[in-house]
Amino acid sequence: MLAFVGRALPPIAALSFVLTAMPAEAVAQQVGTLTGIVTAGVNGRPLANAQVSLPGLERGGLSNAEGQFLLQNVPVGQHELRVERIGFQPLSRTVDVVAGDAVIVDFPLEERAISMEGIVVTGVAAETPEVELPFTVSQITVDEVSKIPTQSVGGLLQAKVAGVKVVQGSGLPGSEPSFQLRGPTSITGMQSPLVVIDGVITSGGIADIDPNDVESIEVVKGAGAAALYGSRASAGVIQITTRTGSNLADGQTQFIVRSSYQANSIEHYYGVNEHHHWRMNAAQTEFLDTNGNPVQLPTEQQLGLNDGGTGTNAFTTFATNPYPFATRDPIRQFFDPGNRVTNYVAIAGNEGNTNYRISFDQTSEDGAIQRAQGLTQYNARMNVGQRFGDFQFQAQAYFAKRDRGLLAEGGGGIIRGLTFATVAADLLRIDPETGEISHIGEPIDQGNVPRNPMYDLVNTKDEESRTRGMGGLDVSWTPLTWLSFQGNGSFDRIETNQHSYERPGLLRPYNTPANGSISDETDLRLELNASFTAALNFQFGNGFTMRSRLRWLVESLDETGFSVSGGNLPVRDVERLDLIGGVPNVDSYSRSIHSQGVFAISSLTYQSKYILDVLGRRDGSSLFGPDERWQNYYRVSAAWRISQEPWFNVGWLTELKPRYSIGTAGGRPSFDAQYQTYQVSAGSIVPQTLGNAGLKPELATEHEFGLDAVVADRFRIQANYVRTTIEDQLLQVPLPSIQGFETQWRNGATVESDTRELSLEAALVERPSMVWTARLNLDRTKNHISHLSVAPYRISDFRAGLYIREGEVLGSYYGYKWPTDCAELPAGTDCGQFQVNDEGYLVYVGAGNSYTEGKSKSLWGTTGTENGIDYSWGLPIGPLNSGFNSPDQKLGDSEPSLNASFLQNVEWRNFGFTVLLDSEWGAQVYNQTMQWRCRDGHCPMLDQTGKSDELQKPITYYNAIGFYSNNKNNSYFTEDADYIKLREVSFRYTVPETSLPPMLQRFGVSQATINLTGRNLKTWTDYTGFDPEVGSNTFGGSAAVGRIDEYFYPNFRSLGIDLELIF
Amino acid sequence: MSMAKRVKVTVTAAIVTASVACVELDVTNVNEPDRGRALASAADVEALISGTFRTWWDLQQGRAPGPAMASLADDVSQSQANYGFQDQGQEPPTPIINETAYQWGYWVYDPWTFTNRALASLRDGLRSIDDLGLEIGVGNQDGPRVQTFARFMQGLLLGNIALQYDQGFVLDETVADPEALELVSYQDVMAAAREKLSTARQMATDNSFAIPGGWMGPSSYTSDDLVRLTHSYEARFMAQVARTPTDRDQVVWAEVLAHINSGVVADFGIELAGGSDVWSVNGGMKDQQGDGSNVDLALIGPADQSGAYAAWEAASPSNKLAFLIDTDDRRITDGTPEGPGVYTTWRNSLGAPAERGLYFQSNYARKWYFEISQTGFGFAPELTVEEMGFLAAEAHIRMGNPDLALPFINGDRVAVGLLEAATVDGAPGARCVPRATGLLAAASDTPEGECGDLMQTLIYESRIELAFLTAGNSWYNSRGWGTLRPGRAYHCPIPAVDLELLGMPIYTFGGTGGEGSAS
Repeated sequence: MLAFVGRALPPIAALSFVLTAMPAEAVAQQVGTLTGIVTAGVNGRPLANAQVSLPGLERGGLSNAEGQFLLQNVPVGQHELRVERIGFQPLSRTVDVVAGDAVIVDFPLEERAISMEGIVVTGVAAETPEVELPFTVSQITVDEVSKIPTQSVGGLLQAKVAGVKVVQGSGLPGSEPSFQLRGPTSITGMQSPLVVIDGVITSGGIADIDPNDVESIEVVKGAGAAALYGSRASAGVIQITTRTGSNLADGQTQFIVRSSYQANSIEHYYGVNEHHHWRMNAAQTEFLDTNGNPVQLPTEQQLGLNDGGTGTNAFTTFATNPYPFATRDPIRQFFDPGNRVTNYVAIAGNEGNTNYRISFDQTSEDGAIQRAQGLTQYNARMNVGQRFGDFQFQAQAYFAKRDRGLLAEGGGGIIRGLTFATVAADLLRIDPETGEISHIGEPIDQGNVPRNPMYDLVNTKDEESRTRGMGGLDVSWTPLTWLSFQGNGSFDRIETNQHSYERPGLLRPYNTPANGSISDETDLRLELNASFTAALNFQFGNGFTMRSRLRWLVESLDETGFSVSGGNLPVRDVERLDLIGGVPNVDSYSRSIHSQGVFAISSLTYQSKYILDVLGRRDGSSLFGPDERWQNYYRVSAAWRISQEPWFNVGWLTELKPRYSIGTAGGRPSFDAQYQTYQVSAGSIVPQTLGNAGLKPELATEHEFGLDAVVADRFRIQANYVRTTIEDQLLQVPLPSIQGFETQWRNGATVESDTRELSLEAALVERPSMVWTARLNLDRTKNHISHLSVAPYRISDFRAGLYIREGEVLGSYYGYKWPTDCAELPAGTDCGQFQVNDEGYLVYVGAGNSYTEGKSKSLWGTTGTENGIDYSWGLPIGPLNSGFNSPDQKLGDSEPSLNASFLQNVEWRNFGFTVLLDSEWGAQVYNQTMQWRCRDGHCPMLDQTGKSDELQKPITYYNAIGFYSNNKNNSYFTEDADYIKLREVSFRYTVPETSLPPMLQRFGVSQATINLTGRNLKTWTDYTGFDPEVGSNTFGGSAAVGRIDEYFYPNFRSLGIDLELIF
Repeated sequence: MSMAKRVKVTVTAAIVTASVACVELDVTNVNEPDRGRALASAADVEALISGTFRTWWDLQQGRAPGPAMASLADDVSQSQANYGFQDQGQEPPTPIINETAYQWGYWVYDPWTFTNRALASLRDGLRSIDDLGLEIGVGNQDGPRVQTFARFMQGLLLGNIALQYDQGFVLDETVADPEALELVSYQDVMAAAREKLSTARQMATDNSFAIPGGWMGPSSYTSDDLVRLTHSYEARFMAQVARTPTDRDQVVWAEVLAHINSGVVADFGIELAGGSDVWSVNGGMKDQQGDGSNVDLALIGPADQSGAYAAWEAASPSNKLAFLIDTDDRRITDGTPEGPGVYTTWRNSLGAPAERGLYFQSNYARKWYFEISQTGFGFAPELTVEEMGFLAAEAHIRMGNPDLALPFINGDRVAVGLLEAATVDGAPGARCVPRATGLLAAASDTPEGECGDLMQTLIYESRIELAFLTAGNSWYNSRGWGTLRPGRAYHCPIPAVDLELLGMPIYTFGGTGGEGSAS
C-alpha cells in the first residue's frame, strides 16, 4: 500500500528507533520522509524489530514495538524500500519520495513457513545462521513453544524433532522424563544428554523448568555436533534458553499474565477379570471352601475351585462365575486424575542499555490418585541484561520450590498392591468399627493380599520437598569489532528433603499390626561452573569469514546427604527419629566432582557457500582414573551450499547443502567407578570394588552425512545418515568370586549404531491470511554391542532380563519363550502330538485330539509324554516342562524400528490450529504389572465368559504354572509397544487489541489469546497396560532403554484451557 | 590505556586467573576407603578378618540360601517364587535352574560368591600381616587371636562350600595367584575345611585370648569357647557332608562323637537388637512367618495317626489335598486337629492357591522363632547343644549303643511334645509318633505305617526340633538319612554367572532321575 499523508504520521518521539542519520551533504538536498507499519499479514499483528532498509542508500533500521518505522531525510526520487524479518517473506516496494512530504508505506508480511533462517548457538563457535551449519542442530523456537501450552519442557520436545525420543516413564507429578537422542549410547545406562540452561551446565533435571519461560530449545543429537561439550556429551546436548527482554523494542515494557487449567484423565486401564473361578452353592449366593462349607467374606480362607469336583483342580476350573454382588474395577476406583492449575505472570522491558524479564508462576497438580498428595510448585526467574559501553552484562537468577507426594512405585509401592484386587474389592469400604477406610479392601484373600492400598494412602506419609536456586552472570567485552572476551560464572543448588512415616498399629489383613516406621533423608547438591572465552570474528573483503573461540572452563559438583530410618515406634503420630526402636539405620555420603577443559573452535565460511568447522578440546576430570585424567576430543565438519554456486540454475531448489561431520565426545564414569573400595560398617571391612586407575570415559565417534534442501521455498528436507561407534564402554564387570572384590569398572566394550533421520516440512498453504504447514519426522536407530571383552552378564536387576552380550541390542529382554512352532521343541519330537491353539501357542494335544476338545473329551488336567518329556494337556509349554526350556532366550528389545511423527499447523487470521500425531513401531515392553495381575487370576484374559466351550481355557493356563509361571520373565508378557498417539491438539484464538472488550483495553491489554489444548488425547495400541510409553530408569539408566512396566504411576491425558493476556 | 594494552591486560589476567583457579582433579573418595586406608593398620586387618563372620552369618541366617534349602528338605511349604521357595519345592522335583537369566537363582549364587569373597578377604588379611610384618596389639599380643580366628573362619567357609556345592576352590593365604587356582571336589574342600578347624583348634588351645564382642555378635568368647566351636562345627560337617545314606554310613562316627563331647555346652547364636542392627536374620528362615509360609505336611505328617498323611504321600502331586493331622504330639496340635501346638498352629487358610500345586497347601503355620520374625529382637541360635545331642544320638545308634541315644532323643519329645519316651525299639504306643510313613519310611526297613524305629524317631525328633535352625541343616541331614524326596537335588552346581566368568560349561543337578538327585 502506498499513500501520501493519508493519515497522521506516527509521532517521532514514539518510535523506538529512527533510522540512520542523514549524511551532512544530503541536508542541502531536497528530502522527504518514509513511514509506515510492519504487520503480520495473517492477522494484522504489528511486528517489532523488522529490518527496514533502503538498499540503494545503504541505510536501515528496525521497526518499533507497534511495528512502526520512520525514515527521515530521504532524498527525493524513486527508491526500493525493503522490509525483512525472520520468519516472514521479505517484501520490497518501490516508493517515490516527494520533497517535504511523508510517504506512508505499510508492509503486511507473509509468514515464511519454510526457511533456514534460524540462528543457532549450541555447539558452534558463535551465533550461526542455520543455513551455514555443517552439522545438525535442531531448534524449537519461542513461536513453536507458544503455540501449544505444555506443562513441561520435555513435552515441548516430544515428537517434534527426528531422532529425539522423550519417554515420560511415570506420570507422578514432578517426574523427570527420559531423553534419548539417536538411540542408547551407553551399556551401563548413562543415556541422558547434557542439559544446559542459559549456559549453566546442570544435572539437576528440567522437570521444574517452566515452559512459559522458554525462549528456545536447541538439541544437539550426536556426539559429533556435541564435541564442543567434551566428555559429558556422548549422549548429545539439550540447551534451553529462557526469555529475556532483549527481543522487545527499545522502550517497550510488556506484561504477560497467563492462567491455565487442565483436566486430566486416564485413557486405558488394565482390564479386569469380571468373573471368578470359585466354588459356590447351588443358589449361587455363597462361596464355599474345598469341603463345601460356606465362607463368609472377607476371608483369608482358601476358597474351593469351581471345578465341578473336589474344588481343588485348577486344570478343570474356568473363570466364568458371576459375582453374587455388585462389583467394580478397583483400579478405576483407585485412580481419579485431578486437575492442574498454573498461574503465570511476567514483566519484561527493554529500555536503552537495559533489558529485563521477571516471571513468577505457581502450579498445583492433583495427580492421578485420589486422596494422594499432589504437587505444588512455585518458580521465580529474573533475567537482566545491561550494557555499559563495550561491556555487556547478562545475569540470570532462578528459584523453585516444590512439594509433592511420593508414591513408591515398583515392587515395594502402593500401586503394586492394586494388582491383588479383584472386582469384588471395594477400596473405599468403611470399616464399621473405626468409621474409616478399611485395611481390608479385597474380600477374597488368596494368601498374600496386602492391606488396602487406599488405607495405606490415607494412613502413611511419603513426601518430598525440593528447593532449587540457579544463578549466572555473563560479562562480555567487545573492545574491537573483531575481538571480544566473555566471562561466565554460574551455580545450581538443589536441596531435597524426603520424609516418610507409617504409624505403629497400622492394621495388616489377618496379621499382627505393624510396628511403624519413619525415614528422613536430606540431599544437597551444588554445581559451580565458570568459563572465560576469547572470541575472534573476521570478515575479509573477498567473502571469507572466520569465527573463532578459545575457551577455558571449570566445573565443580559437590553432593552431600544423610538419611535416618527405622521402625518399632512406641507411640503413634509422633514423627521423631529418636523414637526409633532398636538400632536406627543411619547413612551419609559426600561426593565431589571436578573438571576443567579448554577448547578452540573455528568456523570458516567462504562466500557463504563453503563452510568448514574445526574444533579441538582437552578435558580433565576427577572422574577419570589417575592414568587417564586428560582426554582429547575433536570435530571436523564441512558443508557446501551448492545452491549458492553461480552455475547452479535449478530455480526451484532454493537451498541444497550436503554436509559431513566427524566428531568425538565422551561419557563420564560415575563418581565411585575408578576407586578401589572396601565397605566399612560397624567394625567390619569387606572388599567391594576393585579400583581401576586406567578408567577413562566412553568415547563416541560419530560420522554424520547430511543433506539440507529447500524446494521452491515451500518444502524443506533434512536427511541424515549417522554412524556412531562408542568405544571404551564403561562396564561394571562382576569378578570371579575368588578375587575377593565384587566388581570392577572397566572400559570393555563397543556399541555401534546406525541412525537414519528424515524430516520433511511443507508449506501447504502460504497466503497473506492463511498459513498451513506440515512436518513429518521419521527416524530409526539400530544398535548392537559389537565387542565385549568380558563374559556376558546381566545388569541391574533380574526383573529386567536385560542381558549384556556381544552382538546383542541394548535393551534386550531375556527369559522363557513359549513355543509357537514345533520346531522349537527338542529334536525327535512328534509334531503330530501338538497343535497351535487359537492364541498362537503350541500345546500338547495327543494323537487324534484337537486343542478344542479339552472339555468335550475331558482332556484338561491330563498329561502325556512325548520324546521323554511330560506335557500337561492343552497348556502352553514353558518353564515347568523340564528338560528343554531355558530362561536364556531373547524375548524382544526396547529398540523401535521406526519413530514417526506428523505435525500440522494452520494459522488463519486470528485463529490457529495444531495437531500432532506421534508413533512408534517395533519396540517391546515387558509388562510386569500384567504378569503380577495374573498371579492370583485377576488379569482380564482369565475371564472366559463369552467364549465357546472349545476355546475356553482353565485358570491354570494363565496363572500359576501357565503364563504367570511364578513371575519368571517370559515371552507372554513381552508385548509389542507399537502405538499411534494423538499427542497434541491445540485450537487458539488471538483477540487483536481493537477487538478486545473495552474493559481490557482500559487496563492496557494489547492482546489476548485463548488456547484450548489436548495432550495424549488418544492412543491406538494393542499394549494392554496403561500406556506403551512406560519404563523404568532403574534399568539401563533410562526409561527409553529399560522399558519395564512395573507398577508405575500412569501417564494421563489432559484437556486444558489457557488464557494469556499481554499488556 | 590504549585499546591494545587493555586487551593484553585482559588476556594476561584471564590466563593468570585460569591458572590460579584450576581445580584439583585428584579427589578422594571419602565414602568408602581404598586398601591403603581400609587396611592401614593392624586394627584394620583385624576388622577385615573378623568381618568375614558377618558374611558367614548372613548366609547362614539370611534370605539365601536358607529358604530354598528348607523347601528342598520339605520343611517349609511355600508357593511364592521369592527366595527360590517355589522352584525348589515343586513336585515332582525339577532340576535346579542354573542360568544367568534366572531371577531366583541367588540362593545358588550368593553363598558361592560371598563365601569365596570372604575367603579372599581372609587370604588378603593374613598375607598383609606377613607382608607388612604387622604386629596386632602391643608386642603382637593379639596376633594369635586374629590368626586363630582367621583359620576358624576359613574352616566354616570352606565347610559350607563343601556342604552345598559339588566342587570348590580351596583359597587361603598360601595361594599366590587366585586366578590360577583349580577346582577340587567337595570332599577335598571339606578336608581342607576340617584341617583349618583343626589348626584353629590347636592355636586356640596353645594361646589364651578373648574374642571381643562385635566379632561374632555382641557377645565375647574365650579361646576355650572357640575350641569348643571348632569341635562342634567339625562334627556337623563330618555328618552333613554325606550326599547319600551310603556316604553317611561311612562317616567315622566315633570321631564325630569325640568332637561333640568336646564341643559346645551352650547354644551358639546371636542376641538380635532389632531395627537396623548389623546382626539380623532378615529374609531368612527365622524371618519367614508370613502368609503362605506353611509347615510342610511332610515334616509333621509322620506324627499323624489318621492315615491321611500316608494317603497324601501316595497321591499324585495334582491330588495332594491338605489334611488335618491327628496326633498326640503337643508340639504340633493341642490334641485336636485345629488346636494350636507349641511349634505350629492351625489357621483357617491353606496358604497357597490350589493352582500353584496342591502340595503347597497346608493349614499349619509355623511358630518357630515367631517373636524374632515380628520384632527383630531375641536370641537367634545357629548351632545348639540339642543339635549336637541328636548327632551324638545318631553316632550311638550307628555305633551299636542305642540306649545311649535315648536321653538325647527324649528331651523335648517328652518335655514339650508330651509324648511317651522312645525306647531302643523306637516310638512306643498305639498312637506312636512317628510312624514309618512317607519320606521317613525310607530311613530304615520298618514296614510302612508301623511305629518308627529308633533311627526314624531320631530323624523325626531332629527335624521337628531343629527346623529352621540354620541354612541347609535339614537338607544336608536328609540327604544322608535318605529322607530327601526323590528327585530333589542333593547338592548345587557352581552358579552359572561364575561358570561363565571361569569359561566353564553350565551344568546343574536335580530332577527326577537327574544327576545329583536323591533316589
